[in-house]
Amino acid sequence: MLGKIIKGTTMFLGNLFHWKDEDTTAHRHHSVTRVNESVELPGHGLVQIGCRVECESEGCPRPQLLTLKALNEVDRGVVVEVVTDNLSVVETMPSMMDIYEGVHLGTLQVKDNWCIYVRREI
Amino acid sequence: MATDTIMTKPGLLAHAGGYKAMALVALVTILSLGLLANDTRWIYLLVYLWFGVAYGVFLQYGRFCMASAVRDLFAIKVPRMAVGVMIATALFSVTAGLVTISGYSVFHPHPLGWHIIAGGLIFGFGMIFTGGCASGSLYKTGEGNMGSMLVLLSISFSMALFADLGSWSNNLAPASWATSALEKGMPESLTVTDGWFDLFTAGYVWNQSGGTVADMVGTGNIWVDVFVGNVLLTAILPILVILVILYMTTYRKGYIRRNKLETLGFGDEMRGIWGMITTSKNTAIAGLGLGVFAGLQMWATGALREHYEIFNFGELLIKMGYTEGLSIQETVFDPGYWYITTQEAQLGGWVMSLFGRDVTDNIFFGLQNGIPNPLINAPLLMSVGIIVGASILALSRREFKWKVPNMETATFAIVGGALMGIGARLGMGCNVGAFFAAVTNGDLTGWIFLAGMLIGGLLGVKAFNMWLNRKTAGDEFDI
Repeated sequence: MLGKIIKGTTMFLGNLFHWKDEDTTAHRHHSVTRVNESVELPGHGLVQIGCRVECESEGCPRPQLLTLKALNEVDRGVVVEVVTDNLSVVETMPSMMDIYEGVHLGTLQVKDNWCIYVRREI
Repeated sequence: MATDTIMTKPGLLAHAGGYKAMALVALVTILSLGLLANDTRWIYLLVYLWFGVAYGVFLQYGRFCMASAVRDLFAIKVPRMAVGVMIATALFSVTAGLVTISGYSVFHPHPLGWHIIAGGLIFGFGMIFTGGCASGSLYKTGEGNMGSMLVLLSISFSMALFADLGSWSNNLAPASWATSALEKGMPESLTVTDGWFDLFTAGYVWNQSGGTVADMVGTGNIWVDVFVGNVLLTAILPILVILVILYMTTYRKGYIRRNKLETLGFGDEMRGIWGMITTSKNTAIAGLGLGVFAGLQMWATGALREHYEIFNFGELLIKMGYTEGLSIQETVFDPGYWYITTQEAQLGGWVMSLFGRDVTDNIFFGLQNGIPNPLINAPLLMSVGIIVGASILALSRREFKWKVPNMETATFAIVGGALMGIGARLGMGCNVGAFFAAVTNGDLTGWIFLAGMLIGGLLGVKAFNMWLNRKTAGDEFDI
């Protein structure tokens, strides 16, 4: 644990003095991408994914806003996968789909991240 | 329509996090037993610590965060957290009412004035950028979020610096405050006319009065006064109105669409409201736990004060031989209930004093709260307990992860945290002390603080969206 704290502090100081983390910037530019993959979701079987929103290390409400933006861009019936390590996003997404025109199909925990699957309805 | 959530939840001992969680519990237990072996009167301090642990567990379980509530409501129109917070508030009002009737309530109503709404506004604006309120930042720190840790540090030092503003700030206060402050006859060591916050406290806040709705009802029957005044009129009725407004403005449209309803009868509307409430189940359960434990803490502290025949922990510290860091009244900050920010300001002040800055010449530290060593600062140990409690649950549920903030998040944490600190001192507390504890104990200033926090939150969301749009303007959506 101490090692992780030291590593974390070092990374933070590195960010501080270099101001911009190149990896983070690159990650942000490719956070919403078209994909053609499938995933086994209990209760739904094999589900085809059409779009991936990668939001690891992103704070709220950015992941939610990017998801809405992605749902607006894809066709009806397309499943969007949202990858996040933010538990608030995991909790909020089903409620958000209740309000907006989408369906929350499920959430899978993959190592330290969660993959949330939502489908555009209208 | 399926809305499955499939998250792997292995047994406690099936992963390393479970062992770490158990080790944390064992560590806190051993430290507690060690303290009690040293002197059983440390039980007073341990009550704060262990209630903090319980709060941390519930906060992490329900992701209980006012910043999420306000931000989700305004940014994505999702009322889930706001509904959960309202339910928690209603439940806490009932337990707080029972504690008041039992005679063990240690709550003091806040003086009413413009400072409440101004404080709420600044606090609300800041918390949108930090991504967590005062309690939310504590539990997120327990989940390994170092950005939230930065928020806590920023809140701590901004409050300490704000309470100890120097002579340069005197001109920012009206002359009438200085006149009024002098009339209070405070000891010269406090220099109450030197520094904006001292002038604000002695020259303005002390001239205001406050009270609870139970006092206003004043029938003489404590059950009627407390349950009609504090519980029903101050908490439950306003909360019902807010729930209906949240349902009508956010949830109802989706509810009609999902259930393919064309005309809605009263029963449909009730089912819709119930559906909105049940989507906030975890937060509501957390709220129930927080409400029960917050009430129990007031009762336990009140009972301990009676047992040791004290009004403040400072008296007990003196009896135990600890006199350093007490205020000139020989007291320390000792609210006796769930409170967040003042103890963090004390931490900031204590660190500043280590670097040679005298912060005891102001009212906040010198007269009211003192700057005790963090190891014997009971409310500060409650905050530590919240972090530990959240860590225990997060580790056991495999939800703990060290998160290092990037430069943008760190900047937001420091600037937003500073605004939260200033807002908390102006408004006499944060979302917990100035809203949650106030409303549930019949103090209407809590709703005023919330109104300010909502206005600040709305402005914060607009500013955040502008920033986000600017940042993502160049991004190509590859879809």
